[in-house]
Amino acid sequence: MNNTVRKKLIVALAGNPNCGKTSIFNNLTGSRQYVGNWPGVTVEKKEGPCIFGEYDIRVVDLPGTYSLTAYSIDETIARNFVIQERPDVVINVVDASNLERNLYLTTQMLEMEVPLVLALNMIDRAESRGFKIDIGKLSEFLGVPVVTTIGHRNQGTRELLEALVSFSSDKVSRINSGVHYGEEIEEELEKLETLIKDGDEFKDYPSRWVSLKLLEGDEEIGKIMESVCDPYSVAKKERIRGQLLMSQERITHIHGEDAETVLAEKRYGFISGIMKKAVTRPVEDRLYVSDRIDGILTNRVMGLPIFFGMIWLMFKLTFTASEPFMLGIESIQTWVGNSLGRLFTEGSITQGLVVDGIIGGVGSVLVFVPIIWILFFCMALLEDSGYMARAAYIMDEMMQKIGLHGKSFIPMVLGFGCNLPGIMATRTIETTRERIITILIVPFMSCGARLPIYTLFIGAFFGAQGGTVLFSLYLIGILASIILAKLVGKYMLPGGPSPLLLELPPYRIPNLRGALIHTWQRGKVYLKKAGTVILVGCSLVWFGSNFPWTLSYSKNYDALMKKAETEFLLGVEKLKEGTAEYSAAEDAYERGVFLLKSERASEKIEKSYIGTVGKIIEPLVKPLGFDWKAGVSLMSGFVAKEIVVGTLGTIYAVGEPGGSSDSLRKALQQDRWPDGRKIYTPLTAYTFMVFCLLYIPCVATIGVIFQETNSWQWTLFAVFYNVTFAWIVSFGIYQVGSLFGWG
Amino acid sequence: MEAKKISNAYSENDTGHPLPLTMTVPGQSVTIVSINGGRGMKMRLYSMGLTPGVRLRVLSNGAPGPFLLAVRDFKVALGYGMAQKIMVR
Repeated sequence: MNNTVRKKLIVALAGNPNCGKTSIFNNLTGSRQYVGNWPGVTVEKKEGPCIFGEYDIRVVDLPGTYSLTAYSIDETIARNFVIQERPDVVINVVDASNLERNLYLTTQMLEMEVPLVLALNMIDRAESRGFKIDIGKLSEFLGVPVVTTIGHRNQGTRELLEALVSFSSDKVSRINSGVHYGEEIEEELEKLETLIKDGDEFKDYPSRWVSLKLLEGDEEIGKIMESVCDPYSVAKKERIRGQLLMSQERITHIHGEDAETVLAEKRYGFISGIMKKAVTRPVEDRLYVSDRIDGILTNRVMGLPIFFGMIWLMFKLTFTASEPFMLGIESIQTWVGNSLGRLFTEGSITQGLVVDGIIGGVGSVLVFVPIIWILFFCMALLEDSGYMARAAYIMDEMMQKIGLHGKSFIPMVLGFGCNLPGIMATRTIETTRERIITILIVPFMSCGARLPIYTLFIGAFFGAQGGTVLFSLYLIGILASIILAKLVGKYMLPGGPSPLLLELPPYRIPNLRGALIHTWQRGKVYLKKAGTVILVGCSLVWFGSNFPWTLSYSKNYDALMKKAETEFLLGVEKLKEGTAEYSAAEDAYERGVFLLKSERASEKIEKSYIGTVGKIIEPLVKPLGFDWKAGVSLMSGFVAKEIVVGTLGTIYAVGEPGGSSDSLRKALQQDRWPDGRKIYTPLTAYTFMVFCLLYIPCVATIGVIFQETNSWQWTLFAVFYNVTFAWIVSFGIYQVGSLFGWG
Repeated sequence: MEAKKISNAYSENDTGHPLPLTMTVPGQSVTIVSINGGRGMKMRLYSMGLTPGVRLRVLSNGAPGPFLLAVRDFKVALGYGMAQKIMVR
């Protein structure tokens, strides 16, 4: 042994979903994990380092799969990693209380001839359920080392590491075992193998595995074979193809079923053989605690209300608990902005850039972190407890109707609070198709940031019918999402919803450490990837509304303010501070300066790039009943929808939005077109709210859409689709409304 | 050798004609006879342990929604469309 040179090992973790693979991964790597995507796809890739003795181990968490076919991305990724990267050891985590099905993946791993160590996880639950597993026999029959672990209590980690280290250094001791498929099939396999070995198309693949995959009709292996085109190999390809057809026919003839069915049956046969010898099963049909809970939670009558109750609770908790943090972040942002602002000349470009541009931008990124953290913490607990699978089961029937499945419901509901976590939560949806559709429809869920806009316009134009109007807006959002889901599902991602096939794992007490690690990762990914997009977007809007920096104003505001100050000082010269007259004069002066400042801000934004663009695009929003002011506020709403209100406040020169929402309401009610017609009637106000609901996901949402789809095409599609759709719907509402004279 | 065992499952209850799983009632135990689906669907079902010859218990018949089954020591929810294609007896 050489202690000075550290040995490097690559270890992959494979296993079924719900087998506790994540907690084993957390135990091995701690919180030093890198979360990203597998190249070219949106499947999450996790890896992390593990230092053990003289070994530097790189642990790669493969997607949880039940099998290794080429029918899902997850499975393709897992098997390609095993074949192409050739990890030194694959740890196959299996749920000891659900051994029979878990070993199906193991049989396929064995066929890939990878160095395998079996982690018999959740052994405590298996024992409490009455399973007795003979580890020695299991190891002997499978031909691989077996280690018992209890992942969520971090037990067996050391033994697992010892096993894989000694296994990797002692490669001779490997007994290659696996399924024996019976004489007839083995004969056919041998014929195919001989042909495959003769040539090097498949030199990187175990030839027995390739033969099995060909018999199963595996598309990817078939493609590799078809891609061969040099003349010598073409003849060989024909021979393989001919042999394959003959073999498949012979198997079907003997067994009365197609080859893939026979192979699956043989594998399970091999497993039940092992089970009979190595496992003592509990008495059949015992009702576990888990089943009793399911009797209530998946009950056809009670299931739905309980589910909605849980979601409501999670929401309540998230938004209540995140509020103080968000306020904290905002006040820290203001404080940092003020302190740093003092370092620069008042009103200079650098001050504007640092305070409003950079710190403001960073603030709008950070302000979402508490929501994301708390919501994902709750979600992780629910997921780990086993409840999320039930939620998908309960909602499936309803969601199938709009072409999605049960798992798409949670992201949609979360979207009502904030679109960001909603889109991030789509990671639990396995199929890319449903995932993309769900990501695209979440922005139509009316999030909390849109409420200030509704409040302003409902307050100004609807009064008593406010509640109905608000409800109708949420409904329009839901209808829009259904329409989009149907359209995209039909024309862009055809194929119908993948039918539900979902394991309902036994309930268990969620693992706090795992949930915390998961939550931390979510926040990190958000800051890294979405954060950049959000910063760029905020800077763009800041630039657009602040440049050109030097403007020729219609009035000399500075001189006017100076004049007001001089007049005030002259006026109060004879008055004593603290008297009624003095404070009256002071109030009048301050009001005057405030009005001047508001007027200047209004003129500044009107003459800025964003104002200029707003005027240019006025013909585009005019058919919806909006003027350029509405256009400008909509453009700035790109940063965050609640900013629409602030911008309107600035343009109407009513100062800060918070203090004077009443004056903004009045300003909106009284604003007129050049021909004297009122700009905002209840119809225009309603159209404006609908437009705000649908028009564009905020920059943070766009950032997260990019982060989760990993594709600019889908991100841009989301933006353009939403804007177009919002325009069409608003146009319809406004024009039809005008026709009926509701304007 | 081990592989032969699977055929034993057939002999437990082979009276009657195969019916789609959707015709079963909660509490009923049945054996899968065949799966009338495409290769992709079959492979998905096989990897979840739903192979011809396996015994399963119907926990809930959710028609027209998903079914809940107990099979090989675990529970699985299965869409109605899939249940229609699984022939049992």
